Amino acid sequence: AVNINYNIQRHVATAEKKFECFNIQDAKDFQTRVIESPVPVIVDFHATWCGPCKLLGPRLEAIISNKEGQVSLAKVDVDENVEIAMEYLVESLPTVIGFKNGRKINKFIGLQEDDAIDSFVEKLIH
Amino acid sequence: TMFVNKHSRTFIFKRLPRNYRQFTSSSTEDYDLVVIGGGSGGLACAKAASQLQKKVAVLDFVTPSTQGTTWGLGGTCVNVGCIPKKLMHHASLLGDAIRDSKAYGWNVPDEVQSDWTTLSTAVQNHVKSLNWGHRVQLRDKNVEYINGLGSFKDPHTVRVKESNGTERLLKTRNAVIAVGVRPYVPSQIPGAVEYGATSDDLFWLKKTPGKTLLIGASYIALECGGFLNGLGFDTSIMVRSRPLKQFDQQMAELVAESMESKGTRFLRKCVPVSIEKDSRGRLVVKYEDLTNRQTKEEVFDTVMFATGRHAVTNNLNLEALGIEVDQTTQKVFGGHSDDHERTSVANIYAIGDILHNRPELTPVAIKAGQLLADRLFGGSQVQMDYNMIPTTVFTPLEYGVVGISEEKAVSCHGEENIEAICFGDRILGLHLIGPNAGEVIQGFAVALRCGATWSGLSGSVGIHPTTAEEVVKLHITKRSGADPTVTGC
Repeated sequence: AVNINYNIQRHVATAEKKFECFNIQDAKDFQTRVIESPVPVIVDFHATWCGPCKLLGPRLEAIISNKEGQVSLAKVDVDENVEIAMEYLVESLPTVIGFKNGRKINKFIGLQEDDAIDSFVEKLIH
Repeated sequence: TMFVNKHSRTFIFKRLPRNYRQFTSSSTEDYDLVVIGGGSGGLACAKAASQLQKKVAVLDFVTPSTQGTTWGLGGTCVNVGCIPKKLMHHASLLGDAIRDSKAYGWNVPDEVQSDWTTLSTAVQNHVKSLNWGHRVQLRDKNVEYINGLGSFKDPHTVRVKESNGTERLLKTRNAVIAVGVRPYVPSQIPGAVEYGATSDDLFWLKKTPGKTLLIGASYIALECGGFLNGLGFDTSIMVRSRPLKQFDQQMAELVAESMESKGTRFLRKCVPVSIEKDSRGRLVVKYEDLTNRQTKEEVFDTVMFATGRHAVTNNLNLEALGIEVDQTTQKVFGGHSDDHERTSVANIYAIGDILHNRPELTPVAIKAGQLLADRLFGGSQVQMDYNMIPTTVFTPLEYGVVGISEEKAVSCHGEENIEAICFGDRILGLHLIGPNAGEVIQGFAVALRCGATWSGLSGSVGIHPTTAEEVVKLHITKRSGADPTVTGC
């Protein structure tokens, strides 16, 4: 007798996006979609030449997508939006800043582990 | 207009600018310093001035290269010079290390290939991170940065034209010209401007260079040819007369020989005649062999001109202000009123590669810029010392040097007075070819600056086993004719 164990994963895709994730185009865009946003917004300051940013991005998206729309994710390419990055004193990349009601609430710098990112997001929401 | 000083009854004539306003205080100008050029010298000067609590703006703008390449803040060194060059030099040496490692017991494949896209992307990403770093630094040090092309309206007004077309006028007490130099491409050679790349383009090439011809005998031609060869590309260097003409000739020949032994082909005493594109998009180069006047033809994927660098000052409006430039090089003359960097206009200075007759090196520009800021705003009297500046040619086997060449020493002091390379006990020049020559020469440059003599050097104990120890162990003179090859310890 042979025992065969099948482990089948069924991936279920929902039709609608579970959270808002967008690229900031300019200062006006930042004002409307981050400062004036009714929900808290996590802003991911990144650059095309930044290796750790490429690793952080998907982690942020995965974690925020599980928050059922309680928080949005805005991505700011610092080379395209230098003035915004300068205004918020971004130096090292990646820099992630949490905004709520138009104000800077919390921030972290550099690639972080999932649980650190998760507690950061939770702190912003509550 | 005539001013009369009521108290001492002296008359002073002054030419007034067109938009003359009655100034009530001495510092009504908006800026204390405007720096035109955000490269090694410009940034260093601007930051040093800002540290002294002055209002500073730096203007930076990159006119695209002949092939359309452009880049960010930081100047030549960061974007198309020292930094990408050293990274690629290192990449090519790593290839040698991988091959050598087999003999040391490492399990590596017989053939290793380099991937240009991976390397160039990594280099470009690093450069872009430096562009960003400079932006952040300027903000941290409170220096205003304007991405625009600067020119002079008058000695106290700089006009800046931003990329979106807007123009601003900046009134300033002082100005520094730090615009550097750009590669010179001989436009009289058909196809040179159209198809020829330069060092402005090499590090930003999207496609692999392939079979490459470098035209020129400068350190730029040799360094680039060196690492391209090391990365596995079929590399040829076309030299009109001799390689590294500005350096000690015996050393220059040793450098060229070491490159030839590694597979770089030197087309000596040859000059390009024309460049055309063939039906497959490759470049057909016709060139003349000056020894027999024969014209030859060969196909390459990339042709890079390294035929000198020149000043691009025609859009600065220097002539209108009376800022004197050298007729041949177009570089700005310094040295007025006993200040090495002061131009013929009292409040305008020049630093870095644009300054006439000074070494074209990043550390020279940086130091000159910092010392200038100290003199302008910090009450210092210290001038830049342009003597005994060390440098290194980063060919695969590096050539480090501080001081003068043998040719110069002989012409200055007479051959009978020169031994090995020192004048009596005084060391005039130190030249070293070997791995990490750059690292080795730095310490000796400091020693020479502190007055190290031949007795001091030869009396020092070496560190064993190193390359550097050979310097303190020197004992065979060229005049003796003995064989200098080291066999034992």
